[in-house]
Amino acid sequence: MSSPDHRPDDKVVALPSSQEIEAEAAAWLTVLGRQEVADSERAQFARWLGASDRHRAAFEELAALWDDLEILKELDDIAQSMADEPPRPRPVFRQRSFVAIAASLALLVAVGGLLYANQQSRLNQHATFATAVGEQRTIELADGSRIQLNTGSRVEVAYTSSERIVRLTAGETYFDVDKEPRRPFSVYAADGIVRAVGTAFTVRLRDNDAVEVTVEEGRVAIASVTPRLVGDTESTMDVGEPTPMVQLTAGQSAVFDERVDEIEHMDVPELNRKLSWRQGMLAYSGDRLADVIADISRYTDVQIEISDPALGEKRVAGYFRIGEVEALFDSLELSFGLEVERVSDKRFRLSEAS
Amino acid sequence: MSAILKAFLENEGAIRRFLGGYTKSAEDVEDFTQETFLRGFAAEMRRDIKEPKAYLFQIAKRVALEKFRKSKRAPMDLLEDSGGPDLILDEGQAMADEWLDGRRKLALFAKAVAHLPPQCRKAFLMRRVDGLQYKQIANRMNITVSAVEKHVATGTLKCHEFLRAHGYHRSEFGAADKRRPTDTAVHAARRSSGKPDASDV
Repeated sequence: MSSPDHRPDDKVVALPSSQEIEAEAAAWLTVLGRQEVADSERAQFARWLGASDRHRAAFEELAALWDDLEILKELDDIAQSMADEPPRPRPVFRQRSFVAIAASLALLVAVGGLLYANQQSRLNQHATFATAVGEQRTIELADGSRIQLNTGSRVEVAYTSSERIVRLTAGETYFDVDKEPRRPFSVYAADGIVRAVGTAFTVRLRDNDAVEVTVEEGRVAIASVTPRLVGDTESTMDVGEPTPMVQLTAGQSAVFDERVDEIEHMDVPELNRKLSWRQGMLAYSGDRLADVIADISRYTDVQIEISDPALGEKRVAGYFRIGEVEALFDSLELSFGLEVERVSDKRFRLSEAS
Repeated sequence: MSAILKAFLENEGAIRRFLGGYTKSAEDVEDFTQETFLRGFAAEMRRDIKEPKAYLFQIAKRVALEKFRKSKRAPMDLLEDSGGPDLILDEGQAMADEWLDGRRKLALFAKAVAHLPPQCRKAFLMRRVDGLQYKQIANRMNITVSAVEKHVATGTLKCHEFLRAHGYHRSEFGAADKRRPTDTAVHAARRSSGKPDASDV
């Protein structure tokens, strides 16, 4: 399957119909959603995916749709807010027992208490959150914004009554920011500032202290500060005037330090791939093997080396669960014709299969 | 098809006329109509609706009154962001537009799901919205795990077909529609410079 000779050709008869391929893609997507996926199934999937470009395209399309369907979760919020003001076609008191009313009163009191406590803590929050290599963590902050820390990451949160500041000191974090027009939300990373009103975006601190921002929703403005941020989070507020650089909108990604190196425009499948780590998956589509291995290495303490630089230039595609390095190796061997050799306990070498 | 969707489709014209009594803007009528379905379906997700038609009209009334109240309040407070000069331009309007885009997309997706047969819809929603594992769904619905997986796969496939049939194209909604047309060309150029084809390996 990996050799060009076997590449499916449109002239070959008895190609499966698009409908069949789509049905199979949906079935595979469902299988991959299981809590545990057997190695044999993974291998089978890799073979299926490699069967033709149409297979791969159908799968990617459905996987992207599955991500898009995330929007349905908003229905829950709507249902919730409707429950607050119950619809009443006709008086329905007879259906409610005394116990139910008493219970809902108690709930009302309890919720009231919570709301009050919440109001107090919404204003100020100071905390540090971190993840180990291979770990991910989602945290809801005091203002209702949610952050998701990727592998090996660390953030310091400093909320005051006038500003919401989060400082990313390592790794990568996704921010889903609640709108609060009067209290801007900013992420500080190295010399950069990423500012949002109500939006969702990812900030990654690269090894060379460059900052990478990917915007999923809404808009952010990026700026840089000099000199370098030092000291605790509190003092970051006093550091010189930020120099505004550029605004990014949904689907854009930029890498910057004191200047913006490049702005990349992504279509939705590409954006979804880039953010797939949030679902515990890594997705690649035609990326260089060397980049893929570098990326995967962020999630594991296993070292993977590529025997030959030319091999690192090969393009690969795939969809892997984070942390399942074995499955990745299987698919590299099966679908891409590579050989994975275990050099020592924690070191592996990739080479072209002989 | 869900009871709410059925009632909605049967009474869509009447709902529109009803809402037309509250606003003169055709766009508002359209948005309020979709919002009415959306709320009805969201409620139906959590409980059975006994009189779907009456319920929809109630919601329609509430939606209209709510929006009416809101439009009287200054929509400008969003603009007062202290983002510094030129950092965030017309953010208020942009956010309102985005909200509306998201709402339209949600209504379309909700319809796709509402079209699914009841059991399939139930399993699908438990998976996608509640994030339950197949085994948990199987227990709750008292069916086998493999039946759950079939429902979920069918649900995905049918939603895909529905959205395609209704002309949904990802690039027309939310994220991508802010891009300038040239982006596609840039994107295509980038693609062709490095042939992203795994079978090359």
